[in-house]
Amino acid sequence: MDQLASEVYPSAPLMYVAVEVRFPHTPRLASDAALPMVHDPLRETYPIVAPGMEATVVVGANSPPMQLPVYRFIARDKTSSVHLTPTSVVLDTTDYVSYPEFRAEFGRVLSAIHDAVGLLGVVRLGLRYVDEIRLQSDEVPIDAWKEYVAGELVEVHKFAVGGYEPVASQGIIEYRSDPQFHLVLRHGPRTGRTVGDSPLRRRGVVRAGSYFLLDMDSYWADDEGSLRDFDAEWVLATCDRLHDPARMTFEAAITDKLRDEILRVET
Amino acid sequence: MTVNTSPAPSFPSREDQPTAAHSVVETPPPALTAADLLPRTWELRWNAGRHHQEAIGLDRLVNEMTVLERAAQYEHLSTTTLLDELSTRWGLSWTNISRLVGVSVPAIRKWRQGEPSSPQNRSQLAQVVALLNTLDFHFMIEDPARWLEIPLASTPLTLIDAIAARRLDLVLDYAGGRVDLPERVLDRWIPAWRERYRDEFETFVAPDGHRGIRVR
Repeated sequence: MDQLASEVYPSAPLMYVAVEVRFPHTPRLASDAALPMVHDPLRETYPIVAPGMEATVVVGANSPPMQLPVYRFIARDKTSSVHLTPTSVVLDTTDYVSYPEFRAEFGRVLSAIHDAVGLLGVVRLGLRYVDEIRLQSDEVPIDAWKEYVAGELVEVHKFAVGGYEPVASQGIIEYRSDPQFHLVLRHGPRTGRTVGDSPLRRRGVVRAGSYFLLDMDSYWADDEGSLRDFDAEWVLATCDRLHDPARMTFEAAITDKLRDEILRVET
Repeated sequence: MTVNTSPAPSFPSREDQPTAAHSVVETPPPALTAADLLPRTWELRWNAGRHHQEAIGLDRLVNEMTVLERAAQYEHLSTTTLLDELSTRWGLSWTNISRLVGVSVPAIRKWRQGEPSSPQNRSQLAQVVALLNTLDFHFMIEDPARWLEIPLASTPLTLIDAIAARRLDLVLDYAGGRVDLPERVLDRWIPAWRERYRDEFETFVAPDGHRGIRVR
């Protein structure tokens, strides 16, 4: 498994990766004045700025949704971006190369933002990997996925009702290692695609047929009540702890047949 | 009975708001392009054409078998009885009976006077009776003998000539509506019929938009 955990597949089915850190409301991130300070250190990599407004923080049951200013800094090739709100920052990409590279970029983004506005603390940290496993054929019966995906993940989707056969399904499994570390796996045979073409440009040729979704959301959430101070080094170290189970889940969810016939094939 | 109206526990239990993934959208499959649809179109066309041809072939076979099976029922009748049936019941002239069977009018006269016919000729007579019955009962053509005698597209040719030329298939196709115009019967039977049987008249569309007929 250790060897698998470090292998980079030339035909990996990974379509989208995002890392998000949430923090207490930071008013300076809601002001236009702070924008140049945040964007300047990131401008070379993400020169395109797409401002907008995003709902919502509901304060009370009868309160109207709060509109928050948001900014998305987008790379020229539109395969990666930084999404900034007064309560969160997201680095996402459709052109993931490796975890060390992604981690280093996230560290650079965090430092730029923290240096500009001084983030107060960390509420939640999440790392998300979305894989669309596709075979040669665009029409794959559910049962046929057993050769490529762990049988346990396929069997649950075969539940048939008299006269009807399942054609698409999605399951959710929630894992927990301690009160603060969680992993949610969304999985199932689907048709079409999960990762769209916006706001980032989707990688590769879009195929319309069957795929098996493995969508892993590995996250840490504050469970102590007191706010953890923002510390970029701690955030990155925690990211490492989130990455390992996500990768292990992926490797446990696929078979050697998929590795040999699809993932290791040079395109 | 009490109903618990408290909110159901959320699932996943710890966190309702997953890690933001702005590119993750449940999108329908991308719209198919013409290039995607083309192979399927070809396949459907090919299959449709094949099934159409199979249906036509099967329908023709059924029609011909219907005539032959009826003919087998009439073969037990004598030649004289068969001639009476054709002449009296269906009103066919001796000339046309001779053309349908492929013998001379004097031969027909001899049979009427009691001279024996060959088994092949008796079978031919039975087939003509069977054909008229089939046209009447199967294809609902009233007075089928007169129908066979109608000139095709202002030519001297009739369906009796087609039968005499062993093109029973054309007659059955026309009777069943598979061939909708007498011109199309002739097109399939004698492709050069327009030159061979050129009419001194022609149809035309007048300036008022109505069709007319005039001397060529």
